[in-house]
Amino acid sequence: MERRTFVRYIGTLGTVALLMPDLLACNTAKSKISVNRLGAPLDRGHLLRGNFDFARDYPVVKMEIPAVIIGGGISGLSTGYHLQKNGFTDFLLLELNESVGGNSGFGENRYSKYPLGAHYLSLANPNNRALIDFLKEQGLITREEDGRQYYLEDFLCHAPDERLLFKGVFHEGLVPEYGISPETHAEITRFFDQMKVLKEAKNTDGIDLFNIPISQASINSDLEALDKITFRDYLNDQGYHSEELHWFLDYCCRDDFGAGSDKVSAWAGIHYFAGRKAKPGNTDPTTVLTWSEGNGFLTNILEKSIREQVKTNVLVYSVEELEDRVFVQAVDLKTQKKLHIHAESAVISSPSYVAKHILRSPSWPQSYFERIHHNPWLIGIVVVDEIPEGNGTPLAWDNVKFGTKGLGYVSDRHQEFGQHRDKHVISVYLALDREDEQTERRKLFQMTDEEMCGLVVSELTSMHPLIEQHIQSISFQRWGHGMVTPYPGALAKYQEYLRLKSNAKRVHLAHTDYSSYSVFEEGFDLGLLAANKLVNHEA
Amino acid sequence: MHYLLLFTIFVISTCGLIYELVAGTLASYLLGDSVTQFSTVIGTYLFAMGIGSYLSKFLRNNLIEHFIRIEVITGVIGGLSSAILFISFGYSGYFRIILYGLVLLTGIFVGLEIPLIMRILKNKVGFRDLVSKVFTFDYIGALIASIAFPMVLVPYLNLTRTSVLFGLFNVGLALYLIYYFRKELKHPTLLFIQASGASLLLIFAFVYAGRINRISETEIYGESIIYATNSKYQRIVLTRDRNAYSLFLNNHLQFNSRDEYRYHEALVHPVLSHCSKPKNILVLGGGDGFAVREILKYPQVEHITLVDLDPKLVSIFSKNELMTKLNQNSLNNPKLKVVHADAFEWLRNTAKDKYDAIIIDFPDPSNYSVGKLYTLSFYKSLQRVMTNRTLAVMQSTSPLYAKESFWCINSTIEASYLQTIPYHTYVPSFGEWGYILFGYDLNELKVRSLPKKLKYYSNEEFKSMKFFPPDMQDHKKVVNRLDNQALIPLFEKEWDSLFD
Repeated sequence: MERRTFVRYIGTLGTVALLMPDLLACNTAKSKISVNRLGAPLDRGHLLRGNFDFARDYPVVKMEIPAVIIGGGISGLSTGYHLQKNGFTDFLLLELNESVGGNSGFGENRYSKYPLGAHYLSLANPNNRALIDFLKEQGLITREEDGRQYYLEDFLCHAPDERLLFKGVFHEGLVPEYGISPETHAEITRFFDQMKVLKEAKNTDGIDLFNIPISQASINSDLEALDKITFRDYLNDQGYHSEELHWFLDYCCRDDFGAGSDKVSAWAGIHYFAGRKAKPGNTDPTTVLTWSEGNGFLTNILEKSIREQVKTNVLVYSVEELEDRVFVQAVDLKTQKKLHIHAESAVISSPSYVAKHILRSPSWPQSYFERIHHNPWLIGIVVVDEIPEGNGTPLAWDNVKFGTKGLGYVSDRHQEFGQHRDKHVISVYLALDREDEQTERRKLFQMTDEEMCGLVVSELTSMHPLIEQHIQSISFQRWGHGMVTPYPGALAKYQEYLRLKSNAKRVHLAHTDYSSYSVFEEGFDLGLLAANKLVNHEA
Repeated sequence: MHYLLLFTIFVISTCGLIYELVAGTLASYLLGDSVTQFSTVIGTYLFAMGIGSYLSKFLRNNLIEHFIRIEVITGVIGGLSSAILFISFGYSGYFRIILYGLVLLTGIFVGLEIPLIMRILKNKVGFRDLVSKVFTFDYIGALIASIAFPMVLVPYLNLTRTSVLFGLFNVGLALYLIYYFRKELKHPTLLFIQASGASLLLIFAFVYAGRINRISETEIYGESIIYATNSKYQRIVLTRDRNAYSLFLNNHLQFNSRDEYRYHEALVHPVLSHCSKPKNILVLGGGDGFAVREILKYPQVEHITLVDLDPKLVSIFSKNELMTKLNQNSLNNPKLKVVHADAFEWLRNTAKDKYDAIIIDFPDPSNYSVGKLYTLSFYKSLQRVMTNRTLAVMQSTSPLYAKESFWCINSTIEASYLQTIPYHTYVPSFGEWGYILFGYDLNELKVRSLPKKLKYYSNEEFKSMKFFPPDMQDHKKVVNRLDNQALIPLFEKEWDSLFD
């Protein structure tokens, strides 16, 4: 046994024995890696399927309150933040988990914070005033001049931001452009030119066809037609055939939607490119804002503004919209009490699969919640003492290999200001989209630590053949339902949401599941719109 | 019996001479000036042998046991001497004391050997024959050792392993004698345990001695490496070429003692001499203490804060006597406070005071990690510790070999709403080198004070340093930010093209 292996072996045993009794070890071919599982969230969600026997004898607490927000992800937090901002302070936000944030939650180990899901915010579109104002208020945008936003340099993704392992060499950027044929090059250029045109495309009302947030786009029949086919069919129709371009676009879909270009709606695929039109004054428009803790940074800001109103560890199991009020039943898992809340209105910021179980409202029929899709995700947070250097661009924030189904990894310590020292912490993202979502979900929850370890390690090994011996530990974050996956019909679903929403009285839905695009901007906007409804209703 | 004793003499004389040669070689290797080093080491060694011979008369009874014990002790001390010297060179401020102490100790024990042998043999061999045989074999051993040492041992085994190997010969001899005289000895078991323990220690040292070997690196630098170590952050290598010393961090030359005064005087004096009240000074990087040495030439200076990432580097330059001689022991000055922190993180999270002058001496921006220290965001963080009157300077690579890089640093500082005065000088071991002086308002800059007896810098010289001929000019105005790190590709391209 080599000395370092021996030392690590002893170290691992020590940690297991002393610190974390539930820590297991994962034996791979070459090394012994300590592993653990994060994220009770999913197991908690499954309480909803039970009959609440455990809470039968809990005492009941009754309360009356003007508004209740159910769900503490970005949409719920944004609802609360905007209510507070408008002087509407008398509300409660109920969150099932230990902490708020949802997909924008984060964790921390000895070396670094790391995101549990969403890890960046794209630069704001100029029309997105609310977001720009929010970023200004937080000092993330330092000034505006001639319609351009000047961002605080510190949290813009540091260089190098992306690298792609293509033909054995790491290249800067993710578009495979090195050593390709002139035809492929022409195709890539044509695609981006086409997206540039679509960015500017407007409906007859003069409003952009593609925009973020979606509430600021105008939908016409062309978009409805695009929503009926897959992105891949669209690309083939448009005469795009190069392997490199197809791989890149498929990668983008898997990265942002959790499913490949052969599965997602062409509307969504185009929206990804044509919806972004940031005009920053001091950086590249495609740069992102990111932090070690990912969007957990933004979660914290939003939460801080409404700390008084947030109640965590509360399982809401029934929301009934009545003529004169909304009746919410919940269990406070911490104080072991049942809550019977009478509210004038409620905002459901829970994902569709939870809303379907708990909501009874004449405005929102059960059937609406069907056909909203989520693929499961597995994220491995890996502590590694060294990342073997490859050829070309050194370690970047986002590191991807061309031609694979994997999404590569993100370096969680990339945004640190100091010189790199001791360990690297990297997040390996795996979108599980091979089979249908129920099957993949079942498989994910039946996976042993060894199996998860194998998936994460082989993803890394495909990029760095010698990395395995450097891996110290892996923490697994399993998302049974990742972000909403916009299959064909997603836009139609959003239109259905708009129709139902216009008739809603006391119960409003604010969650990115309903806007078919799971990004911070959408959650933030849906929260803003819901808060405006309550404030106006009050007035 | 007869042959055994002659063999014994042969072994001890070879070993004795090897220890002497190791100490002499090491001293001249590390300290330079081989005539002085060899003379003093040999002198001390012979003198110590004299002490040993004198002391031998106090050893009575059980002479063989004494002899065996002396072999074990000599083997351990002599065998480990090279390793001890190599390690203490980097970590201790008393290298010479340790060197001569070890030479003295080894010499004393070696000096005990021959008189004891002669006393052991005196009843067995006639005196005339005894003297003749003992000294014959003694000198033959010395000849073989002195030939083998430069031709076989050092090239194939390196210094450390050579001395350990001969330590093992000493101890091996002891073990053999224990076996041979097992019936005559009073405590054969105890002796055996002692000798086996010593040989295990030496075998261990022999196996691990490879890590202390530095000779293999010599070829990279073309000079002799006198100290090399890996800290958490970098590889630190000190080399010596005749009487000049150079420091390399990650294979990049940081200074050469022959001309570093040019570099450091040009780094420090433009800022300090123009500073109206230089009381509280900040140094970022510069763990070698040279910038601090220059700053201390201003008696008005009250406090200096040095922020350097690497405690190991600072420790070498505050303890090693060669280095403290070069930096005039500046790192041990009571005015100095050393902070071991990452400069960027320290500025963002810890720094509270404001400073009258700031001297920045970071490594060149050769990778994205160091590159962060040359970004707009860094200069904005730096402004937290600056007042309207603070003057600062940053070493900014070569405006001749990397002119776009140099002017990119200048544009970046300007983009943070600071004024700059770029200047440059010639440092023979670096070539043409550049600096950027900056502050909020440089319009009414005037010389306040300048220490006398500087080797190079003067107010007149500064005027010419500010002039940039056309081959050092560039007007692109690229700003280096965290999110583009535009400086890194520029720097790589320019320095690479130099070696094409």
